[in-house]
Amino acid sequence: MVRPAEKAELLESLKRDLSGFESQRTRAPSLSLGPPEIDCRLSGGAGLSLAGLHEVVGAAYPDMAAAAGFAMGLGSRLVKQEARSLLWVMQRCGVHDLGPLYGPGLAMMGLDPARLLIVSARDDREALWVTEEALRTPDLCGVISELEGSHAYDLKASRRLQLAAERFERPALLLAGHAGRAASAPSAALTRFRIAAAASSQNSSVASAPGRARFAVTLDRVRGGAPSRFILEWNHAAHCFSVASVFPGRADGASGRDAAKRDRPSARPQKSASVPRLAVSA
Amino acid sequence: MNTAGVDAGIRPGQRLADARALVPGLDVMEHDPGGDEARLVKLAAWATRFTPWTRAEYLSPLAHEGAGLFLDISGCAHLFGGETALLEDLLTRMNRLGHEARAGLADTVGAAWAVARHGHEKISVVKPGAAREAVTSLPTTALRIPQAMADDLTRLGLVTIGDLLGRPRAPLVARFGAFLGQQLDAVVGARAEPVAPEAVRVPARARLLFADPLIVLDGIVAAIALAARDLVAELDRRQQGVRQLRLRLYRVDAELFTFEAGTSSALRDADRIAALFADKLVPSGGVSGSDIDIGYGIEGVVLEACAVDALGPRQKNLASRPDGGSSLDELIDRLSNRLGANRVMTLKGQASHIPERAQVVVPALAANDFRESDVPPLVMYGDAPLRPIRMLTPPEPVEVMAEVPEGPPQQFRWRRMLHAVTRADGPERLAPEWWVPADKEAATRDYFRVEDGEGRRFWLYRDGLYDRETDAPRWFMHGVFA
Repeated sequence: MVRPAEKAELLESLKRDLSGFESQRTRAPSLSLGPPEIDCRLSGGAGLSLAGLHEVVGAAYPDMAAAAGFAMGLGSRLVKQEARSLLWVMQRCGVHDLGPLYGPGLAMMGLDPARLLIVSARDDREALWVTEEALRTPDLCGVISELEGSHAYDLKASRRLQLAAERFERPALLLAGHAGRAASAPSAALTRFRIAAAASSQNSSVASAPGRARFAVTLDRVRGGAPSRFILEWNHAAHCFSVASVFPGRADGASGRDAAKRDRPSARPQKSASVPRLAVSA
Repeated sequence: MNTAGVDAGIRPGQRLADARALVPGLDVMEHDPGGDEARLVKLAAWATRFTPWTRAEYLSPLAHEGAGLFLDISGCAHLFGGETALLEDLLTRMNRLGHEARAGLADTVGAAWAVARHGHEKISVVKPGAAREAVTSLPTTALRIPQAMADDLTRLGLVTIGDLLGRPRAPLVARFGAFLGQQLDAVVGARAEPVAPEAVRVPARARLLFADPLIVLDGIVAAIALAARDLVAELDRRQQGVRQLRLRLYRVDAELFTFEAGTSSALRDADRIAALFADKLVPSGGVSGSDIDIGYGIEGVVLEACAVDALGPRQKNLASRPDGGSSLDELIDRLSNRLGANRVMTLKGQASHIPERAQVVVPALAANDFRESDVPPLVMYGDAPLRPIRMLTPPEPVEVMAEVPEGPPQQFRWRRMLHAVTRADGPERLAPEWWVPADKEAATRDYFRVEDGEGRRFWLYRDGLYDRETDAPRWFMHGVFA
């Protein structure tokens, strides 16, 4: 029998050990998304941890393009920061749904096509194998991997990748389908971004044209952090994200009426991005 | 200089103005010694159809006749119906290739050279043992000596080779140097002068044979590693790196398994070479290995470098990595050999304004060999990118409601989903590339970047201009934006 005093002591020591592990994780290098108020919400508090597995899912099937675009934004920043190549694992589903990656468009996102290696995998098992192999490759800065969402990607597989990412300090971003399909499967990933398309910013030259790409991001899962929602905008010139100010009273020229008209009530938080709102877990 | 020119009186060393005076309509081309030599080397390689021992001889400072080929046809003549028949065949083929040529055949290289250039016939065959008689009446230039030396000899009254052969050797050598003596010896066969062929390229190869056959996969993998080490030692000697490898496993009952592997860059690393094949043989991860039936065992392992690139010596032990990881090249090699070369790709730009032609997908293995055309980067104006991140291939037809004739889409139906367009930019008009045959019938495309009410961004185009090209243009979805 363990006495209460001993129990408390044991708990303390376990907590100390755990915090030791955590701090080890936070020491890992990380990738800033741009705005500090977003970086501090991710595990580690300094942006996207490079030593980790991150999932990017679309909010719904038609949002897969936005999810791919968001992952590409992260990839573009990663390549810039690490000055090394990126591996993109494609699968038939992605090619069928959205088409193959398009170099000139990638270049405009800030991702140099010459720094991109593309592998087309036959199924999820193969994609996961390639992802793990790539994580061991020092000359790569990371992997973006499309998954069909089959059962091959389960808790065990995600833990494998997470461990490999931790060990080699190279991130893996999994484009794991859309929320309808990926559901809330258990996973060892540090982060899960749920991405929905959002109306783009006001175009500074032609008012009726689309502007900078915006993403409605829901942080479904953050290890060591709280889930939150915000809208990010990709700056195609500076290649960084910024917190979009689509809300009334903010000075970017978009009037509140316009913003309200463009906003999708279901996916759009109506609060300032600096105040995190808890996502309702499904 | 061609025969017609020579007949008209044009000579080497003549000034161009003089030559023009003789033949007013003279066609003049710049002499390209490098090109001549390259062509000659090619011809020497071509001549291996007659005998493996061929050599190109480029002698411009010594002889006006310039270049020649040496063929050692010992033991080959009967294959072509005798020596004369072989030479006739050779000359006919040379003519067909557009080369004027003469042929000489003799016991010695020197005599053959002499009769080919100074003989009376186009084809001169010197009987065995008759080299000396054949050359006695030929001028001293036939000795392959500089023109100046031949002129000096003529001044002394020594006009033919026979004059020289009859003289005591010592004073000649004292006056003209050892070279003359050597050339004389070479003509009559007193000095050996073999035809050293251009390097015959035997692929680097490592072979292991086993008295006791290997019956477990691990043993075979270990044998491959040994063979790889031998191969690398050979490649080291040749200063080559391998680009393509072939592995043959011989089973005791005469069954042969062949595996091939390619690399993205010249490779000379035993571990990596062995790993390429180990990947193929041994299943790991989600990917199964090749299924070979070892049966009663493998008795022979042959590893061969089918294609090689030059690779200089390297420093050892600096490239080793502490974390056990591998470089990008190694990953490309492994994945390409495991999954297939066309499943590991890189994107290359092409100079074309037609979106689907602006990029080509190249296997990463061949990426280094691919020459990218200079692509002017698309200038980005405004806030939004002009090109989609992913391009639907081929474009998918969509039902569109748009203003006639040139307005942007108002709403469209793609994959059975209706999208109401809230914002649009365009048209960006891209005319077909009329100089490309496939584009003969193609219509002008008007591209629009549109955003729907949900914030999804698409790239649509109308195929054809109203009235001018078509009455009912079709619309296509060509890509998605971030």
